[in-house]
Amino acid sequence: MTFSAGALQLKRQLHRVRHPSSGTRAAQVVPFGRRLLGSDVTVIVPAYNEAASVGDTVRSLRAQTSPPREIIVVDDCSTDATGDVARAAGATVVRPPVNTGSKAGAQTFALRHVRTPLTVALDADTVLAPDALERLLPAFEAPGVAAACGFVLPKHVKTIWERGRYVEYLFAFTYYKRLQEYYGKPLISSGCFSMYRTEVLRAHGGWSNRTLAEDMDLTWSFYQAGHAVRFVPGALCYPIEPHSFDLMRKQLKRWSHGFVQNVRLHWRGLLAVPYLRSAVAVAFWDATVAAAAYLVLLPILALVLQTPWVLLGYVIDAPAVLVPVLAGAVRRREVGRALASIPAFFVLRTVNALFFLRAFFAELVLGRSFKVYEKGH
Amino acid sequence: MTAGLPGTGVGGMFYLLSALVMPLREVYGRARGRSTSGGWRAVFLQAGLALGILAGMWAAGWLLGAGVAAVHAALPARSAGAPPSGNVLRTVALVVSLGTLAAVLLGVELLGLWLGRRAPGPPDEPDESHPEEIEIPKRSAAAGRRRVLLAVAGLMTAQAPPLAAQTSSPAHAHLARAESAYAAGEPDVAEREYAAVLEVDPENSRATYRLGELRRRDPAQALRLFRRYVELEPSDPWGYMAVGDVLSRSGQHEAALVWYDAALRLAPGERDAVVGRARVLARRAQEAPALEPTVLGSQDSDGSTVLRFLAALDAAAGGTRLGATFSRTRTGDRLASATVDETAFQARGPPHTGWSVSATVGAARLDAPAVYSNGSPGPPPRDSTPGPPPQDTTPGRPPQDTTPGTPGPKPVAPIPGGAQSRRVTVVATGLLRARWRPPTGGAAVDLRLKRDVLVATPLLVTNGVIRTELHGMVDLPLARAVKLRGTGRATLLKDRDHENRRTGWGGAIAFPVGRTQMSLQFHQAGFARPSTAGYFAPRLAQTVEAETYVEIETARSVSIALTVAAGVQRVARQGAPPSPWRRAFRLHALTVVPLAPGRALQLELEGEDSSGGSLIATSERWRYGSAAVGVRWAM
Repeated sequence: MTFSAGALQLKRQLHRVRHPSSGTRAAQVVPFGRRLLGSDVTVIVPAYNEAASVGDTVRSLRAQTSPPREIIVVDDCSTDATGDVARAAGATVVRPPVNTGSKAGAQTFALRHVRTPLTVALDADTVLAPDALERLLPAFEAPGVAAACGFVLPKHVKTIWERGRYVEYLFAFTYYKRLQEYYGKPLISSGCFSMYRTEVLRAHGGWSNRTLAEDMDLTWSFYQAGHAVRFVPGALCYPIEPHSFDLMRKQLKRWSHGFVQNVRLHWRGLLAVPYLRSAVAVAFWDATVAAAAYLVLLPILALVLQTPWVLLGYVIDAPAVLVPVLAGAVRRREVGRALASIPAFFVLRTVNALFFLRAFFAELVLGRSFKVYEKGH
Repeated sequence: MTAGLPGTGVGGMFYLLSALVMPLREVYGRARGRSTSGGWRAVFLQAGLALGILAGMWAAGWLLGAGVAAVHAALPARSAGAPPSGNVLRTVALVVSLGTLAAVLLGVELLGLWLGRRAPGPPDEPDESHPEEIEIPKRSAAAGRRRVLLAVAGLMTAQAPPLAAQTSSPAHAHLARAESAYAAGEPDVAEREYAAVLEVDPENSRATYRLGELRRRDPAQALRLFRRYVELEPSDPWGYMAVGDVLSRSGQHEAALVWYDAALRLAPGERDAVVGRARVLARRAQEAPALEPTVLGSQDSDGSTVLRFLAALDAAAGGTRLGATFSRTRTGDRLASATVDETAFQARGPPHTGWSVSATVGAARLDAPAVYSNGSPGPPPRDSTPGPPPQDTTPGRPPQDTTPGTPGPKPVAPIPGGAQSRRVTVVATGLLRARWRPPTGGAAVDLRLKRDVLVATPLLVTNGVIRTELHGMVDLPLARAVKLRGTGRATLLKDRDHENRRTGWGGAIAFPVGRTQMSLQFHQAGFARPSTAGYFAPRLAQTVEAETYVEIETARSVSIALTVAAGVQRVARQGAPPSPWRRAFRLHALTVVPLAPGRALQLELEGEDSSGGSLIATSERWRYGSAAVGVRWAM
């Protein structure tokens, strides 16, 4: 019998007890008992032609209450002065030999340079609140936690698209994400700002560009491997959101295809993760069937039944949106801004639904996988 | 990104319900001693948001209804275009939303159950037997294999990373004590000392690993400790294997496989990683839902034949095993035939520190002749019915079974060739079983409460004999491999007109001899009254026998479990002295042939020559043979 043969040939690797003062090896492990500090963090900032915003990003990092040990900006063969701006602001700049083609590629390229137990991935157009890193650190004192993310709000809230995003984020991070966190399963550790445990990140091979939503891919892989992911609402970051329809279109295309690609990739493994499987199933249903009903069925019903009242279905859930948004806005003392942005949300939601439905058809029905990474601003 | 329609759709309903459930979950969690992130503040905040949403929706609906009614009143009346009332809109929306959500969530759970456990893996172990109408002790061939696997697991975990020098001396002292306690087999002391090491030197990976091993019975703690070990020693594949093992034991086979793969990446070809991974696949295959159709045929010396078709479905949900059984039994003799259709649903709870509980609920539909004809064309009545006295009584002796309360002979109604009326009855059946097997070895207890129908002959089915039985078994290990077993049982047999009681007890002593297990057994049982319902009801039946049990596994993983028992038996009919000792003989063989991963063919043979003892027979001298063929088809 194979089992008995194996039992007779046990081998064991020679085991080394860690010496507290050994060099790089000591620094890789999250120390047990000592409070985590910013010096345990390396920040990776992937940048392609971000000269306009990368300076602010690096400065917001250096101004942290718990500053990181190192800021690595990955100048992904930019054609503008991204590298110089970043260097001037005080970051270490690395340049891959050829353009990696995606944010995932750029971030993974920098991973080899990380020597701290914690790694942060930050978008080059995102600025952090001064205490953002400090607020994420305690999440990693629990040994099972592999990633932690924070609250996201748009840096600028002016155009209709930015306002739509503002309300969408306020809604999602005040209400949905906190619920997911309570049940232990935040759906995604946001790619624009997340902290990871370096060892686990390395064990998963860094970020993969097999889908267009590498943050979702990584988060769901963590869950399937038995790790925990945390959401810390007190850690704020402010990315630049698309301000025009053209840019919004590119971002939505990337996100919608990324979502469908991830569902196709991970669905079997997710079935073993309770709550997450339900949340993803519900989101998938909403992105497909419910979106189709929303976009197509309601107008048809209105025509068929000869009554415009059916169109009330588009706004019938306004209170469902208003209550969490206002609650979040009150906490931030931005009620006026929130109220003024609510109509834009309904517009964005409809456009969002359209893109997700298109992505579903393209990826799963037609089998055409979209892999080109186009930036959203 | 927010996939879907934030606020609306089933997502809105899902998160609303999640928020409303939060307070309940928090209370439950606190009662179990578990703290959750955020605490009560987070719970109240989110639940408050949910209630606010509900209130807002209600108010909006009401406002809308009022506004629409006002507009409608102000405008000239139109036959078409009458708005639906706010209430109708709300109710319809709610019902549709909830219904869709329930369907989506249920669909995901079922999909997970169906697909999450599909099995390409090594052949799985045969299931335990289904309870049958005549009780025969069975043992699964997998017990031997399980023992070997446990031994391997024990060996693997017994090997430890060798000790290396420590710098700080209090930790060193604790570690030394812990190591010696571990080696000496004192787990409590070892656990204490390893915990002490970690307090002084929290990064001591060896103590972390050992503590995880000692706390394997608490999967949450073991997982935490092994994960910590992986952090401390990321290049040691044994850490990943330990995490994978704990995950697999808690049912998270997919996650376990990821960890085993990581171990194999670190040490490709490491045999124990391959073995452990195969074990995870086997566990997953074992938990895969399976279909088991079986056909059984039997014949006894009274001329009754039984043909049975059985289909069993079996699946695991979490740690619980669920199953459903459907069977059709056709029993007939030269005079009549009866059909019994049975349906049963089983649930076996997840094993919890030695306890294992299972419950079965079902129903049996009996279709038999309303009156069992034993008229002239047929053979004389069997020994179970009082008729002409048997040859061994002398004249002048009172005829058999004249004690008060004896039922007279059943009505004899020969209907030459005519159709007999049939009677259909439905009986509820069930089985409740609780087993205690202490993890550290020691006495084991098995209790069973069962209610079923006797279907061995058409006479029994006609009379609708229902058996309710309480059976208890205690196993006491004596010396190294010698075991003492005691059994007791109390049975109530109820047919349409009468009630009968049977009590029995037995003892056995078992010891291994070479590759077999031998046991010497004594059983005694007796009925309170005689019976004409179709079963043999002696005042006393005693059996002394020697039994041999052996499990064989051939080269192609075909496993055979064989039980042979031979002994002597004597029987005392109601109101009569015991008969002389007669030979008794029993044989049972179970063969499992693996066909493909997750699929196996099962063959079972049984033979018996006795008048009962631990069984209920249908006549005094009773010989019985049966064969069953079944397939276990994992999906």
